Amino acid sequence: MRVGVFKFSSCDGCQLAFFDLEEELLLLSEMVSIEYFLEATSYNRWGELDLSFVEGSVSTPEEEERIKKIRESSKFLVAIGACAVSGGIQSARNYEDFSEVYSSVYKGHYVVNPFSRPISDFVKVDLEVRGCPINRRALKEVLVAVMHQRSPQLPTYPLCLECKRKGNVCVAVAYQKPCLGPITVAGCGALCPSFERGCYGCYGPVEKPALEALQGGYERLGLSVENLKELLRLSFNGYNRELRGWL
Amino acid sequence: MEDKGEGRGYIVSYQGLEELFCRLKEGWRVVAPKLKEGVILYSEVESLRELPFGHRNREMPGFYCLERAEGYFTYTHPVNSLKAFLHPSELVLMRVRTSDGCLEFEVCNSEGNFCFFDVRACDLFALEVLDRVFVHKNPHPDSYYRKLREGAFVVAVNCAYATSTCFCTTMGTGPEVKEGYDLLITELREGFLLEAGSERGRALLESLGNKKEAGEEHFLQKRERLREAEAIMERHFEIGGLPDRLYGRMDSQYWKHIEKRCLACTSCTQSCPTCFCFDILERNDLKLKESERIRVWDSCFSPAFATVHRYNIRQSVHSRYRQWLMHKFAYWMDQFDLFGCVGCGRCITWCPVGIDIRQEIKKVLGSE
Repeated sequence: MRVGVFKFSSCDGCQLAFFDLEEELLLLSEMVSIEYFLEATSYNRWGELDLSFVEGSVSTPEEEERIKKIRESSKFLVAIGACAVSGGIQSARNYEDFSEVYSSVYKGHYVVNPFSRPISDFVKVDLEVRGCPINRRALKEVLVAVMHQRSPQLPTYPLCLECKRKGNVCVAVAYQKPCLGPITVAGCGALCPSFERGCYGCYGPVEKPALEALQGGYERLGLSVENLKELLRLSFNGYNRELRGWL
Repeated sequence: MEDKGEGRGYIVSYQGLEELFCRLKEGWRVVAPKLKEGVILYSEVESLRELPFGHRNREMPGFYCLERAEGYFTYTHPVNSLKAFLHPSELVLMRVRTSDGCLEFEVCNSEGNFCFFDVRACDLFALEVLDRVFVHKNPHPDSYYRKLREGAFVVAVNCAYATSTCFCTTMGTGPEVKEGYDLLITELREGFLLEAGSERGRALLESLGNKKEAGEEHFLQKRERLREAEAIMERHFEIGGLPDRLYGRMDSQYWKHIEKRCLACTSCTQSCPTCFCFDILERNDLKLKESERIRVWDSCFSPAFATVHRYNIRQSVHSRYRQWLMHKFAYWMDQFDLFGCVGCGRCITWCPVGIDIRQEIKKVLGSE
């Protein structure tokens, strides 16, 4: 099986999940042929690929073209991480005045799109792996599933389910902390609530998140509509299709 | 019929309780309420002092905190339930390995050897509910549950207090502990009234050192303490004929209203002491040398729960809420001959947006 790992506008953190596989990475390299992975090898070819992982959001015209080429050469394309799935933290700019944001970051002329977008805005994505960054458990599940031709079992349920399975105490109820867990996809191991802080949504929204209900319910925690919208814009998943209409 | 020795009991001091606890520790893994992370949680405990004596849980829809109070068993049930021990949230059912071209199966069926100490009437009733779900009313009795549950020693405690989310009197499950225990504790002014509910409970009770026979006045005091708890709780609805009344509301306009308030976050089902739904996962390694089959808690609010052949038959939140409420208060009766709700109120307290099932039932019944 020919595998490629590609990077767009992102921090490289999701690619590091491959290195988190540790000894299994060596095993993996015996089982598949890693054709393209700039972070891991100096020998990169880019031909026909059976499985491609894409990290990062599409933020420049060059990236718009490159993602289409990757799609054309890949049989199965997996978006990894909040940037590829939802536009990333850089999509917070989608809700701001672009020229102001641009001039506060760049001196000189660079070609940058006003919007940071998920790759699914440009090409068909076969599977999304959530998280900022993604974790090795999910990556391993995808690799095992694709290699053995079964469907990957990744969570689609809210974080609350994972948090309760873990035996955590609900931070919204016991400590009155606003938590995005009820509308965020599980998979992180309920990391933040395990340390008594609210989930900030880095795994992105569940399908049809109950935004109005959450907003109404969290008013008692002193969270206004604007507060909640800001939390979501900064959740690294602000331009997810399930959120952008409401924000 | 076991001789429960109705109307008989002993009065012991705190030291007497300690003696009892030590005796239990000799033979069992004792699970009891414990202060942890600012709440009360059932946990394995080493000594009686670890119990949250003198603490009181204050609960409201979507709210929980602890306060101080005078006495020992001053709180109600813990945040988690005994489900966590008998139907663990993640349980490896079996492992399969390949060895010399053959498959090796290992069934991971472990024993519980539990003593559940300080169990309130609602949670005791929840044990009866789970027993029926997994074993007695199950055409395929669950060996994993049975093995963890078998022989569990139960020390129950009568509640003298209730929170604003408690409604055991409505569901007819409490506050008085009536059956399903080995020993029962009621905290009185001058000590603790101990009663036996089984032969082994009686034998243990008789073997305790410092105790005196309880008199009529002690049983009167026990009634008074229970009445104190009862007085705090309102009767919210009538359970007689409830399933039929609910069946008549299946197409009510009411259900649409819940769509705007429910998050479908699954918290109610996970906090519930009787919600038993689970999913089965396979965890494989890269070379398929080893595979684990794992049972994990699931929820009817989970988006994939009602997905059949890639089509979700319950896409709207209100259809999931209706499924949950109807299961608890109607379908459960058809399946297991009792309600799936014991009136502990956990789903009310632990709903992040404070939806109150008692009010919702009243609204459903009052709707057209």
